[in-house]
Amino acid sequence: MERQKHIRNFCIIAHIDHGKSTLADRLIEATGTVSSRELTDQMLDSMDIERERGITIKLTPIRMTYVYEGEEYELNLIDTPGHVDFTYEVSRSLAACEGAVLIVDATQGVEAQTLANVYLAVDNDLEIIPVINKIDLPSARPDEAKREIEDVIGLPADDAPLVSAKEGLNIDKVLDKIITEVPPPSGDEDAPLKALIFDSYYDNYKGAVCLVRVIDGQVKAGMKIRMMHSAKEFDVTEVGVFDPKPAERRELSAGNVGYICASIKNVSDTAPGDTITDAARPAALPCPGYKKVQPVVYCGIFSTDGSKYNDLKDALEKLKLNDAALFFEPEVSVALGFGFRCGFLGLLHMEIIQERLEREFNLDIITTAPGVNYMVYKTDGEMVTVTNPSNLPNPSETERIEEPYVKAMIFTPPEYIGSIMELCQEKRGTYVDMVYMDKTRVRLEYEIPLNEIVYDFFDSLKSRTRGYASLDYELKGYKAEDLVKLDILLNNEVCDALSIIVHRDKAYARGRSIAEKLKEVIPRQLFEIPIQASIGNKVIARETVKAMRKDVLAKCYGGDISRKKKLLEKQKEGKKRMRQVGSVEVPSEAFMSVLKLDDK
Amino acid sequence: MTREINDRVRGTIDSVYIGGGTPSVLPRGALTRIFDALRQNAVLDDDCEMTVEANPDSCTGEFIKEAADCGVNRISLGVQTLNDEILTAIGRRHDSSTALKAVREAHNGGIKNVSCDLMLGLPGQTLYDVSYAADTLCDLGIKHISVYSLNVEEGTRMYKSGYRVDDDVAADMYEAAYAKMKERGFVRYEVSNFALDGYRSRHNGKYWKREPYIGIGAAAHSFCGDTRSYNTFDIDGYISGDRGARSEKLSAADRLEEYIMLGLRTVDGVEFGTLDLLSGSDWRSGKREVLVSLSDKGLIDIGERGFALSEKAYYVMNEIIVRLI
Repeated sequence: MERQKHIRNFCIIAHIDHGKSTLADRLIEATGTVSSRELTDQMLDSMDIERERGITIKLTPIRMTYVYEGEEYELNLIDTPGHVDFTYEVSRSLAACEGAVLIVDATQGVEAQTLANVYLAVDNDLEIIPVINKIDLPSARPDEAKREIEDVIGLPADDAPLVSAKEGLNIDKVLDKIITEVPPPSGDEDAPLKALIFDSYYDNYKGAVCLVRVIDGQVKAGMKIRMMHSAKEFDVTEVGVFDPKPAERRELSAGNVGYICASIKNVSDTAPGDTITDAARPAALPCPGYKKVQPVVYCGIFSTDGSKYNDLKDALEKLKLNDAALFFEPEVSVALGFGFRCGFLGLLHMEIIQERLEREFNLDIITTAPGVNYMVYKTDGEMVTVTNPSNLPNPSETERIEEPYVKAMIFTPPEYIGSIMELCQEKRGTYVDMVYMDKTRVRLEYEIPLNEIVYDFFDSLKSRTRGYASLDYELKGYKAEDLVKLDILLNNEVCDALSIIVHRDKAYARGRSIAEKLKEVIPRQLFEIPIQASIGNKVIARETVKAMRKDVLAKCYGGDISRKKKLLEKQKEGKKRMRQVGSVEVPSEAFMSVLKLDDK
Repeated sequence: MTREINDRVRGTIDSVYIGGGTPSVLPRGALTRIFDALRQNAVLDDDCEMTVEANPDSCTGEFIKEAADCGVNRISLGVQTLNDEILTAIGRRHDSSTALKAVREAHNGGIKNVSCDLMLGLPGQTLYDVSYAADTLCDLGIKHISVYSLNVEEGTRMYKSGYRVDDDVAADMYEAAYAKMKERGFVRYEVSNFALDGYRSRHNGKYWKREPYIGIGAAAHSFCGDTRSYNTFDIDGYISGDRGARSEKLSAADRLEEYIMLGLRTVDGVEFGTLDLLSGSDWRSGKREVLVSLSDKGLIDIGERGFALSEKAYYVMNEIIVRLI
C-alpha cells in the first residue's frame, strides 16, 4: 500500500479545441518526461488524422514522474477519445483512473460534450479537478467559467487553477492539485491479478498489445493470463510502461498503468472493458461495466475501380487489426459490384475509416448512404436485423419494423431554441426536456430516431445555429415506426446502391430531392434516362435526363488528329469512373452526391 | 516556306491546300512564289486539287486573278454567317454583302469550285440564320459547305464574356443545316462537310483516310503512314530557318484508334478487313457485343464489308467511338 500512495492515475476531460492535447504536452514537458527537443506538438495524438482534426482515436497512456514536497510520485495520464462515438471507450479509460482534470475554456464555458463526459466521470467515482484554460486570451472570462462549473456541474471551482496551456502558465498548480486531490489507488497487491483493458493496439512484432490498469495483484512475463469475458488464455511475453515510449518492466502491480503483450493475434481478443486475470489463480469477479461494442452506423464501401476489391479487403483487414469496433462483411451490389457492408460506432468513426482508406491506402472509394440497423419482425414470427436496405423483407411479409432512437442533448444559446425545435420536429424528434443552464445557454433534450441523426442532423444543426449549438447523443432503444424502402430506378431498373430506408412521411420529399440531384450529376447519354423514386411499385418522383445531342469535335484536319485522339482517350478514361447500372452509366460521384441533399 | 518546299517536296502531287491562316492577305506575288517552288520540285497532277483559303474581305478580284494564274481551282471561304449583326459581334471584318461578293469574284475569276465555312452556335444566331445562309450560298452556286459549331476556348474574349454554346441549340442548328443541304442535293460525306456530287474535298479526305501528306510552314503537320510530325509553332524561329520539327511514331494501337476515329467521321465508315489488319486479330468478334448493342440502338449501320455511323449518330460520335477504341 505504501508504494501505491505515490501513484496518481488521471485523465483529462475537455471539449474539442479546449486545449486537452496542449495541456497534456505541457504536463509532459513540466515533468521532464520528454526533453523539449523531442517534444512534437500534441504528443498524445499519434495519427495524422488525429492531429489534423484535433481528436483522439487511439489512447496512449503516459507515465510521468513528479516531485512534490520532496517525494517522488508516479503520474499516469490516461487519454480519452474526444468524441461521442467513443463514449464506451471513454467510460473504460475513466474506470482506469481515480481522478479527472476537467478543462474548461475561459472563453467558451462548459460544452455539451464535456458535460456528458463529466457525468461519466462522476459515475465512475472520479475526483474531478476543474482547470480554467486559455486565460491568456483577451476574451477570457474566468469568473464566469468558474460560476458555470459550479452552477451547471455542481463542482466547487473557487480555487480552480487558471492556466494557459499554450503559454505554459500555472502548469505546476495543476500537477500539485493532482497530487493533493486525486486519491491514490488502493488495490490489493496480494489478491489474484485483475487488470482492466481500456484500449489495445496492434504491433507488427508483438501482436495485439493491451493497455491496462492493474487493479489488484501483479502481472509479469511468463504468466498465463485469461481474458475473463472471452475466456481466452495467453502467455505473457512482456509487460511495461509508456514514458512515453514503451519501456519494458519486470512487473506491473496494483495501481500501475502500462501494457501487456502476450502474442495475441487479434485485437478483437483484447476488447476494451475486458478483465485480465491469472489463469492459475483467477479473480472471483471481473471489473464491472463490460459491454460488447456494437456498430451503430452502417454503410456500403466499394472501390471506384471495381478491380481493386482485394486491395479494399486488405486495407479493411489492416484497419481492423487496430480497431476492434470496425465491422465489415462482403456485400454484392448490382450497381457497384463487390464491396463491403461496414459497421461503425458513429458518423465520425465512419468518416475516419473512409478517410484512412483513401489516405493511408490510396484507395478511391464509393460509399453508400449511411444507415442504421433495423429490427424487422416478420409475419411468420421471425425477427431479422437489417443493415442493408436491399435486404429489407417484402412489406407483405413484414409485421413491423423497429428503428433505433437516441437521447439527444443539444446545448445552445437561447436565441436558437426556436429553430432547433423546428429542426427536431422535422427530424421526427420527441421533446423531452428543456433546461436554462444560465442566461446564455439552454439544454434541450429530445428523443430522435438515429436514422435522422445519421442523415444530416449535424450539418443542419450547425447551419441553423451558426455553429453555436452542440450535440451529444446516446442510444436509447428501439421503436416501431412506419418505415419504407425507397428505391431509385434508372431507366426503369432499380439501382440497389441508392436504396434507402426512410419514414413514409419523409419518402416523398427525399425521393424528389434524390431524383433532382441525380438529374444534375448523371451526364446526358445516347438515350433519354428516366430517373424515378418509388416505394414498392408506386412511383413518387420522376426526373428525366435528356438524350445527348452533341458530342463531336467538329474540325478534324491534319493538326487536330493528335489532340482529338487525346480527347477521346481522356473521355474513355472517364468512362472507367462510371458504373454501369443496367444500360445507364452512372458516375461514382452520383452515389455520394445523394448523401448530402439540401433540405427543402 | 520555299526553302522547306525545296528540302521536302518531291514526286507527284494530287492535292495542294494553302490555308490555316489567311493566305488571301499575302502580298501579291507570294502565292506565285510558293506554287513556282512546288512546280520546281514536284509534278502537280493534271487534275490536282488546288485549294486556297480566303477571308471574304481580302478575297478580291486581284487575289482571285493571282490564284487562278497559279492554277488554283478551289477557294475555301470563311463566311461563318450572313447575319451582319453577328459578324460584327464576333469581330469579323466582313459583312454579308462582302461575303457574297467574294463568291462572285471567285466565280468570275474562273474558280467555279467554291466552298464556304459556316459556324453554328454563335451568340444571337437563330435556326433561320443557318438555313438562310445555306440557301443563299447554294443559290450562288457554291459546291461545298463545311459547318462547325463554335468552340468557346478558355482564355478567349468570348470565354471571359461568359458566353457558352448550348449543346441543344448547336444540335438543332446542325440538324437544320443538314436538312437544308440535303434538300439542295448535297451529300454529308463527313460530319462537318457537305458537297455536291463530284465536289468532295480530296484534300480533307486524305486526313480521314490516313493518306500521306507534307505540311509546309510554321506549326504545319505532316503524316506518313506511321509517323506524325509537325514544325515549330514559333513563326520567327521558322522564318530564321529553324524548322524545329518534332515527330511521333504511331504504335499499332494508335494506328487502329486513328483509323476508327477518322473513318467513322466519314460516310464511308470503316472496313472490317482494315480493322483486322491493323489490330492483327479478328477485330469484329472482339467487339461483337458493342457492335450489336450500337446496331440495336440504330447508331451504326453494319454492312458486309464494314460499318458506318447511322444518320442520327453523327453528332454524338465521340460517345460511340470511345466504345470502339
